[in-house]
Amino acid sequence: MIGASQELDRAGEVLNQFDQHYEAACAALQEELAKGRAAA
Amino acid sequence: MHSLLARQLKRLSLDGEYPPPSPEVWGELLERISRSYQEADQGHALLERSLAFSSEEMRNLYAQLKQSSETQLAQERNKLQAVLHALGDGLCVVDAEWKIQMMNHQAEQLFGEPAQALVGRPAYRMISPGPEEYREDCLIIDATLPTLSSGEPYRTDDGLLVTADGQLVAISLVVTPMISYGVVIGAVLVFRDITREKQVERERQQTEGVLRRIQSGLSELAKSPQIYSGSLQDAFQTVTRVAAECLHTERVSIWFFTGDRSAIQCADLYQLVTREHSQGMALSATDYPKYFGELATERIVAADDAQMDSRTAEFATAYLAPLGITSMLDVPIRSEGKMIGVICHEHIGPRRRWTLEEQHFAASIANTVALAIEAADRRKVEQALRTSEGRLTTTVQSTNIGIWDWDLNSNSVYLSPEWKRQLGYEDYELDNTFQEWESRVHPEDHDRSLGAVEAYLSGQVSALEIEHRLLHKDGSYRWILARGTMIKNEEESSSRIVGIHIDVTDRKVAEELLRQAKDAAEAASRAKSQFLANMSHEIRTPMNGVLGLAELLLRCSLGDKERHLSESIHRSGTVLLAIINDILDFSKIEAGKLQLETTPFEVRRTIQEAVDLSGPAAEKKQLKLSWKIDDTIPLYLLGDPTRLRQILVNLVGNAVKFTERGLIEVSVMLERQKGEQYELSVSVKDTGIGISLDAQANIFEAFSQADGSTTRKYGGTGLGLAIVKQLVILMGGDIELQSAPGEGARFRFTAYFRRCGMVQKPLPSPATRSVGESQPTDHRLPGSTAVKILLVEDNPVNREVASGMLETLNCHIDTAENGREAVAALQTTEYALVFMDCQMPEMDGLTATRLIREREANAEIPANNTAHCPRRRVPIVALTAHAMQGDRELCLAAGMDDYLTKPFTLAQLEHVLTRWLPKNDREKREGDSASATPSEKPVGSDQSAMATREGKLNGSMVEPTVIDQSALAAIRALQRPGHPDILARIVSQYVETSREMVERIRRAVVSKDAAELRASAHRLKSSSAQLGALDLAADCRELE
Repeated sequence: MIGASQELDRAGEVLNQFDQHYEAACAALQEELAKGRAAA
Repeated sequence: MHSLLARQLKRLSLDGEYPPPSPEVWGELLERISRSYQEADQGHALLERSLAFSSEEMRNLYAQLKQSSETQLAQERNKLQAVLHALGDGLCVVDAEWKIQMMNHQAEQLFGEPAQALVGRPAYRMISPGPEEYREDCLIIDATLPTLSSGEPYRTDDGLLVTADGQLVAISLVVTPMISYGVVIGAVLVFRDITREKQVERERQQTEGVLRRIQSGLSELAKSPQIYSGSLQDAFQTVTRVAAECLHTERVSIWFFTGDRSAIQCADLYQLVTREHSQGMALSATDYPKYFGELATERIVAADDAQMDSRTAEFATAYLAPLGITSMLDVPIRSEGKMIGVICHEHIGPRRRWTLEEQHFAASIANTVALAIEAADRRKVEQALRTSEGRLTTTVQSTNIGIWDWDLNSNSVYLSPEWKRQLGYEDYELDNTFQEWESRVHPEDHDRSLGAVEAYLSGQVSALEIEHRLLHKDGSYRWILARGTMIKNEEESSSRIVGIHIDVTDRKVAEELLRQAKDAAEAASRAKSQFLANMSHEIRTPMNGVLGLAELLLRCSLGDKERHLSESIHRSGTVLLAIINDILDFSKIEAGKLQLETTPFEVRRTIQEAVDLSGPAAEKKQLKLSWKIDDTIPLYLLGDPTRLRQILVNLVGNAVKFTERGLIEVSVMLERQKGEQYELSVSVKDTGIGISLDAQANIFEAFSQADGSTTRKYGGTGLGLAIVKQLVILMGGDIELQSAPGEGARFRFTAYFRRCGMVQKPLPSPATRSVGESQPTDHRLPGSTAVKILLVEDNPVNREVASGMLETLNCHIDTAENGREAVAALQTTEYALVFMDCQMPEMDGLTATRLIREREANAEIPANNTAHCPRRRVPIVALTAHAMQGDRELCLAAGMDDYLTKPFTLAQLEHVLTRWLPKNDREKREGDSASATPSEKPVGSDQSAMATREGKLNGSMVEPTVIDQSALAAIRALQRPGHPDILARIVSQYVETSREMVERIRRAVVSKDAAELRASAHRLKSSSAQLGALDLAADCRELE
C-alpha cells in the first residue's frame, strides 16, 4: 500500500508532462486533419 | 654221694655218716639201690630211645629245613636276579680290590661286553665318578674312587663309563660299600646312562643362556632412548646391534619394501665382527621371486641350511656362499596390520638350528622396529601438532580471535582476554561467567542466540554458529561470529563447549553495502530487462507501421528502383522486428520469466507451419526444403507449440540463410516414450557452409556467431541459437551440433512432451494447407460477398485501424465496443470469426468468450443434426496489448482459439484469417479477391496515400517528435476509395474520446484511484500509440 501510494504521488508528477504531451499531440493531429482537408 | 643214693638213704633214714644198722636195713638198702639201678637203666633206655627218636626227627627236620632253605634261597636268588635285571640301571658288585664279581644285564649292555669278560677286571678301568678325575694314562685311577671303609654310600651324577669300543658315556653312579665284621669286603656299584639327561641339561643351559641374552637384549631395547627418539637411523642401528649380540649372529639387517613392493631396501646392516653399520642395498622381486613369494606369505623364514633351503637358495651363489652364510632367520616387520619389511639374521659358521626362543626373539626385534617407526611417526605428529598449536596460538593472537570455554557440568566459563577486548574491556573488567555474554546480546538477537545454543545442546543442529550483536563498552553493538564445538569426555562424564569469537562488524557492514549494491544492481537489471521489454514492445508499434506501409507500397505499381527500395524497407523492417522479438525473448529468459505453456497441439501441423515459413526463402535460393515425421508420433501432444515452432523456424531459417545450394532436411523422430512422456528428436540438416570446431564451442552462447564475418555477411544478433538452446532446455531436452566447414551442419535437439489424452478429435483447427502450397503473399481487395467478422474493441482508434485492415482483406466488419455487445451480436448474427479485445469496460473479452462458449454448449442442437456435426463453434481470436506469458493461457482457458498481439500487421491479420476461417469462407474471400481485376485495386489510392504522406511529411509544420508520421501513414494506407477519410475519422474519434480519458486520468490521480488510473491510461495509451503520439503513449504507460 505504501508503494502504491508512492506511485500515485509519482503519477502526479508525470501528469504535468502528460498534459503537455496531450495538448501537443492534439494540436498536431488537428493540424494534420486541417492539412488533409486543405489537400482534398 | 650221688644225690640219688643220698635220696635213698634218706628214705631209709640212714646217712653216709652211719652204716645201716641191720642186714635188713642192708637189704633194704641194696634193694633200693638195685631198683635205682633198674630205674636208671630204664630211664637210660628210655632216654636213648628218646634220643634216637629225637635224632631221627632232627635229621628229618634238618633235611626238611635244608630242602626248604635251598628252595627258598633259590627263590630269593631268582628274585634277586629278577630284581637286578629289572632294575633298569647297571649294577656291578666288586670286591675290596674293586674287581668285578658280578653284574646285571644292563651293566653288560652299558659296558658293551658280557659279564664273563668283565668279572675279575677292576671297575676303575671303566668307571669314573666324574670327569675331573679323568686321566689319560688310566681312565680311572684308584684315587678317583671313594674310600669304601667309611661305609658311607657315594653318589655322583657326573660319572663316566668307558664302553668296550672306547666311547665315553655319562652316567650317574651310586657306590655302596659292603662291610662284614668291620671289614670292607667289596661294594655295589649302581650306574645309569644319563647321556640324554646331560644333553637335555646342556640344551637347557644353552636355552637359559639364550634367554638371558634375549632378556638382556630386550631390556636394553626397552630402555634404549634411541628406539623412541624419533630418529629411525639411530633406532635401526640399535636394533641390529642388539639382535646380533644377543643371537650371536654375524649379520643382522633391516629391509623395507619400496612403495610399489617391487623391491626391498636396506635401512641398516650390522656386522658383529667389524661392528660396522651400512645401508642402501636393494633386492628386487624380479631377481629373487621365490624369496619375495615367501615374504608375501608374511611367515618367518627360519632357514637352518640357507644355501639349500628353497626359500633362500636364490641367494646361495651370489651372496650366501661367498660370505659363508649358512643359516638365515628372516622375520616380517608389520606396522598397522601390514607387512612393511623384514629383519634378517645371517649366521656364518656351522649350520645353525634356529630355536623357537630365537625365532620369538627375532619377532620381538621386528616388533621393536615397528615400534620405532610408529614412535617416529608419533614424533612427527606431535611435532606437527606442536607446530600447529604454535601457529594456532600465533594466529589467534595475531588475528584477534577470542576464545571461550564453557564447562556444562560446572557451568564455569572461560573468556579469553581477546574475547573481552573485542568488547572494549580489559581482562580484569569482566567476570568469566555465562551472564557476561548473555547480558550483552542485542535484544533482537537474544532469543535467536539462546535458541541456537539450545538447539545445539539438544542435538537438533550439528554445529553451533551464531552471528549476533554484543554490547561494546562504548555503548555500540559489535557483530560477533561465535562458533563452538562440544567436547565430551565419556570417562569423566563431562561436557564442554569450546569456541571462538570473531568480530565481523566490518564484514557485516560490507555485506550490507554489498546487499544494497546487489539490490541496486538487481533493480537496475530488472529495470534494464523491463526497459528492453518495453522498448521492444514500443518499437514494434512503429515497426508494424513501417512494415504495413512497405507491404502496401509493394502492392502499388512501382518502378524498379522504387520497388527495390520498398523491398529493402520491408526486408530491413522484418529483420529489425525479428531482432526486437529476439531481444524481448532473451530478456525474458534472462529474467527467468519465460515459462512454457502446456496446451494440446497438433504436432505435424506445427512442424509444417514452421518449415513452411522458410519455404519462400528456400525457393528463392532454389534450395530443396523437405521434412518428414515419424509415424509413431501421436497426432496431438501437450506442450508449447509456439516455442517449438520458434525453435524450428530459427534452425530452418539459419539453414536456409547459410546454404547456397543443395537441400535442407528436417526430420522429427520419436526418441523414446515412457509413460506419459514423449521425447521427440528433431534434426535440421543442411548442405551449407558449415561451422568450424572453434566456432561450435560457443555457438549457443548469447551474442555469439560463428565469427565476425558471419555477422557482416549474414547479419543477425547472435541471440537466435542462445534462445533456441534455452527453449530446448526448458523443454527438458538438449541440443547438439555436428558440422565441419564446407560440409554443412546438422542441428539436433530433443524435447519432452506429454501425452494428450483429452483430445478425441482434431482441435478447432484452421483450414488445412497442403505441404508445399505457397503462402499467399498478395492481398486482394474485397469483393461484394465479404466474410462476416465481428470486431470487439472498445478503443475507437484501434477499432478503426483494425476495421480498416480487415476491410482491406475483403472482410465485412461488425463492431462491438465491449463484451456485452459482442455476446448480443453473436446471438443474432453468425460470424465466421470474432476478434476480441481483452480489456474492455462493462464486460471484458474473457468473460464474453466464456459466455459465448457456454451458450454454444447449451444451444439446442437442430433435430437434423448428429453428434458428428455439432453446432458450429465460432473461432475467437484474442487481441492482447502485451504478448505476456499467461495472457495466451488465460485467453485459451476462457475458450478463445488464438491470439494476436497489438499492434499487428496486415500480414499477421491475414495469417490469422487464413488459419481460422472455414475453407469455404476462405475460398469465398480469396475467390472474391481473385475475381477482382488489378485495375480494381486501390492502387491509385495507395499511391496517393503514400504520395500524400510524403508530401505531408516534407511540408509538415508539425514537430516530428510529437507525432510519428509513419503511424499516420499506416492509417492512411488503409484508406479505401469511396470511403470517408479514415485518418480524419480516426483522429476525430481520438480527439473526442481522449478528452474523457484525460479527464478520468486527472481525476484518478487526484483521488488516487489506482484502478481507474490504470484502466484509463491503458486505453489512451493504446489509441495514442496507434496515432503515433509516442510521447503521450509513453506517459500513459508510465501512469498505467
